[in-house]
Amino acid sequence: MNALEARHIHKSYAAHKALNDVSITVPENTVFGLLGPNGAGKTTLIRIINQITGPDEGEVIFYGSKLNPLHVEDIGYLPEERGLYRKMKVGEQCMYLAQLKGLSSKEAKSRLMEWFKRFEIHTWWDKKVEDLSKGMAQKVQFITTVLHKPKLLILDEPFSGFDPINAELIRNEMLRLKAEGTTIILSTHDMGSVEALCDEISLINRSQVILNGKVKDIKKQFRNNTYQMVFEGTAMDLGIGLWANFELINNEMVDDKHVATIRIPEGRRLNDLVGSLIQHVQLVSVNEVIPDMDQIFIEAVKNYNASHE
Amino acid sequence: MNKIALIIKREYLNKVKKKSFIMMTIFGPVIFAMLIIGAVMLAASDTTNHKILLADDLGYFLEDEILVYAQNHVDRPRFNNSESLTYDFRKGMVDPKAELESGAYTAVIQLSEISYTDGKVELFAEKAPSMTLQNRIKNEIEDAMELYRAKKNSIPIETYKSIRQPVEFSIIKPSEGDKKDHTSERAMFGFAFALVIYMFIFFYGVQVMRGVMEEKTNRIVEVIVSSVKPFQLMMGKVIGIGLVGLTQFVMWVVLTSVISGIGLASYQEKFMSMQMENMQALNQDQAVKQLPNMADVKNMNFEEGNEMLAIVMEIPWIDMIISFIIFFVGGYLLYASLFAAIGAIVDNETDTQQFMLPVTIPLIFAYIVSVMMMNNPEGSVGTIFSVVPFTSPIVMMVKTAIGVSIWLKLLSIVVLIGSFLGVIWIAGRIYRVGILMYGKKPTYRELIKWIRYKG
Repeated sequence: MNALEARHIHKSYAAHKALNDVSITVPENTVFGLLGPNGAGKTTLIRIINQITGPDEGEVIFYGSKLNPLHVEDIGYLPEERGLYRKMKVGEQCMYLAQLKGLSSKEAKSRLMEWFKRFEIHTWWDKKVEDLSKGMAQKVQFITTVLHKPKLLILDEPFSGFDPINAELIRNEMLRLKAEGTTIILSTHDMGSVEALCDEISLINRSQVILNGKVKDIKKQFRNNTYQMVFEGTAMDLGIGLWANFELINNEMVDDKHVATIRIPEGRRLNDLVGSLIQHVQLVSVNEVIPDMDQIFIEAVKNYNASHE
Repeated sequence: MNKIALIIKREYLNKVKKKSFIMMTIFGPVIFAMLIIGAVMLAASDTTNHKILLADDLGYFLEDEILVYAQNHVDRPRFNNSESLTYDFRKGMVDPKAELESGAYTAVIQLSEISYTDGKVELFAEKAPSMTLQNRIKNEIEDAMELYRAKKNSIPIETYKSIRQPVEFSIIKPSEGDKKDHTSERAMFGFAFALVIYMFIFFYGVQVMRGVMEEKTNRIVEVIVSSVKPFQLMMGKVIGIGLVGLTQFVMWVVLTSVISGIGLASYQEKFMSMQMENMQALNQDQAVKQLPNMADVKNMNFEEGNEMLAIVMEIPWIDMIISFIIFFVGGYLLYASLFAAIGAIVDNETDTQQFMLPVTIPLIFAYIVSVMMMNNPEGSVGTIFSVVPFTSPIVMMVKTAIGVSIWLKLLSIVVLIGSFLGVIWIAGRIYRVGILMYGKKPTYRELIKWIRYKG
């Protein structure tokens, strides 16, 4: 079952078209990466899912039924622009936000105690929010987002402002929540965490989805017959071995060994490359270069923009 | 628990628990009470025993006021010495500085030719006597001079008094059983209520605006509106802060009356003795039958008191209180939702000016109309603006005090309810877009587009 389906969403602000026929499908119990450059329309889509604003056209299906105000209690949202009431006490504030999500005050209190212990912040209950550091406030915000055990969790740049230790803490919490059955939409520019966490992604650029699918499949799709070869010998030997049949992208020395990145052109295969090289150099290892999400992101966006100028 | 109730509760408790609120709630009445007590004390407080030297260059006072009465063995109606006030008389010009420095007198009054012709009198004192005392002395001198002038022109004093009679209008409405009309005075009472509504709307409207801006700049708002509708958040804030205002208002009324009551009670004794002395002075005057004008004065005072009571009795209190509640609530909701929309539009306080202007202009205009109505209570301007929704909450209070037909009032209430529903709706539409917009402040044309946005 899909946790969420957004179908053919259109949304315009005055002259600006924020979303143009955007559809995404988020399978249940996955971490779904919502990627895209700044201003691509991610936040607008997230706001539509949160019913903060409505689409001009299209519909959103949440666990099989049309999105309605009751679903607010099944969704947890951590916006990118997030804050707290500065003058309120931490505990008081968490209680308030939890109750707004429909928890009874008793339930909210016991769950908060649990979370505060887990994050080792139980001494903060009576602290004023304005006395918290940014990272501390982020922890509190994360707790208030997940406290009501939402079926769908939407996290917009959840790691910003965290040190690596706390970022790791949040990452582990996300995996734990996923293991408990939560579906997570993760919007971030941090491609490292996309690779580490996401099962599927959608890349939105200029108000449209330009790439989507399983991370595995996308990476396959973006392979371009490039290999990394480690060998012993000289650059001259390499040159002779490659001749004009293969494209050398990069060659550098690492610990008295050469590391060369080589692209095999259309019509030739890895065997041809290896066969040609072993006659001239001592091969140590051969690896396919699989592009990371960072590269895929840049390439997809560049290609799209170039073809739509 | 209902979400809007949660929001109201947070707004209310958060504000009421604030130190500034508690300080204002306690010190406001203390200051009010001090002002009230101060005013009363100022009127009655002059405790120094005044010794006054009345020097007269022409000598009339010495001759007629002092000698004539003494020769006729009648008590003087004026310039009688009492515990707090004694007079000395002297003929000729004196050196006021020297007399005051000698310490024999607290004040020196010099009469000269011009005093008789133009009524100009100089009073020298290092510390001016209280207004009450000044008035008393002034009246006594005035009275004596009138007698002098009458005599000089060989006019019997009774004749003079009857000539000098001022004209006073008694306005009577035949349709209301030929009773004396106090429309202007009643308008003033109404104005007091109008002023309370005016100040309340202004003060707490701005608080709503600040609160919305705070949520926006703190970036908490997106978290909240993912749980509740923006409209609920806006109304929760408006109602919550309104209740804070009501709490403060009620506390002020109660505390001010308690504190000033206690304060005045402790000064009552002194206050009463001062009053007694004044009364005695009046009684003595009354005993001197040949001077009818003083009796008149007393009667007039008495009448004024009665008249005040009559006005108070004439005010339709129940109607006033019911109208106050309706127009207070209606006016506050109307304006506070607009202030909320302004708070949502802008990112910082300085940008508010431009948008506040169109909201504050009708408010200030309503205030001006109410002031005008005290001069011209039955004018059609008042009638029109007691129906126009943006001015009616203030103007209708004056109108109600004057007396207004039930139909006009119902019309005004219906228009007010209709327009605050409309305005809240529009404000809500602007609010829901504005709270999530950062950066450049929008133009009015963009605001109209915001209202039309879907969903």
